[in-house]
Amino acid sequence: MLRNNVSLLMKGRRLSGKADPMWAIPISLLIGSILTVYPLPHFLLAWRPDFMLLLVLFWVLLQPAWCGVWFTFFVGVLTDLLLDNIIGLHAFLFVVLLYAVRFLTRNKRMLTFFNLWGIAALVTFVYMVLYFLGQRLAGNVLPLWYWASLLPSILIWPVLYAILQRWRGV
Amino acid sequence: MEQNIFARDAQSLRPALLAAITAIALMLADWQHADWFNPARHLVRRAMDPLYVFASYPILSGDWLTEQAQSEDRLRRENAALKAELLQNNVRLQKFAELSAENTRLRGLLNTPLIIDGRMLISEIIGTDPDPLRHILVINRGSDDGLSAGQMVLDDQGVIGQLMDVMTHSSRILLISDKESAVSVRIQRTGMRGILNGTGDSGRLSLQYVPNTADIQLGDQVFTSGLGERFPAGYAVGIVSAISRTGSTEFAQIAVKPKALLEGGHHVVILFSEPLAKEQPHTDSVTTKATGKSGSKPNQALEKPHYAAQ
Repeated sequence: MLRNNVSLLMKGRRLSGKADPMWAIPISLLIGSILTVYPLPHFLLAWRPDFMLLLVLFWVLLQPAWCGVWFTFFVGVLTDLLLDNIIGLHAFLFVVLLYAVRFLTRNKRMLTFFNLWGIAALVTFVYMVLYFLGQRLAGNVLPLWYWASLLPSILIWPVLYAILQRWRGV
Repeated sequence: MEQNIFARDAQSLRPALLAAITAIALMLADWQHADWFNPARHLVRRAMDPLYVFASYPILSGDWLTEQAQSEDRLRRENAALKAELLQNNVRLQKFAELSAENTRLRGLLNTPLIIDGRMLISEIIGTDPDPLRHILVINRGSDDGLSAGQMVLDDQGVIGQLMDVMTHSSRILLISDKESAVSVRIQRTGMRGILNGTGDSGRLSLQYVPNTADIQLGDQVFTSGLGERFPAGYAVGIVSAISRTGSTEFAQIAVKPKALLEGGHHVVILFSEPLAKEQPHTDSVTTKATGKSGSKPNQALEKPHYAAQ
């Protein structure tokens, strides 16, 4: 069964042409940054998905040969700069979250689409809870609509996956 | 091939720990020495500038479309309404011209500087800051239009905020409702001065350090005082909307509702006016009762116009 799945996976990889993510990674980050800072009217602001988190999750889970801890760290610092946060906050959150994800999924041979979607939803939720706690510790009370970006983040994952699937490494 | 599949498992704790510690070190460094990271922040802002310019096109073209699509009847009605409003404003201006002349004469007698109303620039709001916690707007004018950081931004109702970062073709406005914003203000009725802080809530500002015994009422108008040398004096900021005096603290908690449309606005006006700390356009309307009240405050030069009103 397992062998069968692995061979299917390999066939999928061959069909997808074994695309080299050398350029896909920086370009996806560039587009992600643009979407993160693109000016929106106030009522739409809270609904913006966490593009950077989803991107870093995709690359670290599905292209581990290229993207590791320091990639996560770099994207975190970039996110902090884009959002004008204290530098290192997102870097810390991303590194801790992604380490936890890779540790907990170390025995999962198959990362199917639905597995990944579930992981993405869970990671986004945990990220929002951690960020919320961090802001509470810093004395900032977040409004209720802070949680609004959870649903768009979960819904955008299939789109992101469909676009980036070509560069999936494992 | 095999290596790639199992590469997922090769996650060791040590680099992750090192990265997490580096991130914490960065946070501490940024907290203590925020200026170390200014070049990086500046670079990112510069890179965002063309993006903001690009983003302003759909908004501008959307405006153009709605203007084109309006019916002739509606435009006629709007034109009539605007003409009536213009007439009313002109009548009011006649009165103001006379008051202004009188004010100039009185100021001449008192040797205080004149109020100079500077040039204005109308600009369009093209977006908000990506961080929903901050109250920051992005507008489509920048250093190419002669803007510089610190200028006051208004709408037709009152003060909106000040320019914070000025890029080539866009700028960021720190709204008065942002948690990090403070405006030095004056209560119009009594002339009492105070500091108006943002709370992070766009419908509520908080007037700081007002003693429990101070004469302040619901509905009092709040104007800029010009004392911070940031905001020019005499522009409307808000209305006192709630007062709570508790015995447990020395100061009353006073909420002020901003007059300007901080969330819903579309156009803003940027004022080119050197903030003269000494200008006091609204003191003429202060009644004599106010003089004794604010006389306890230290800055005597600012009290002069009160005596003129007596």
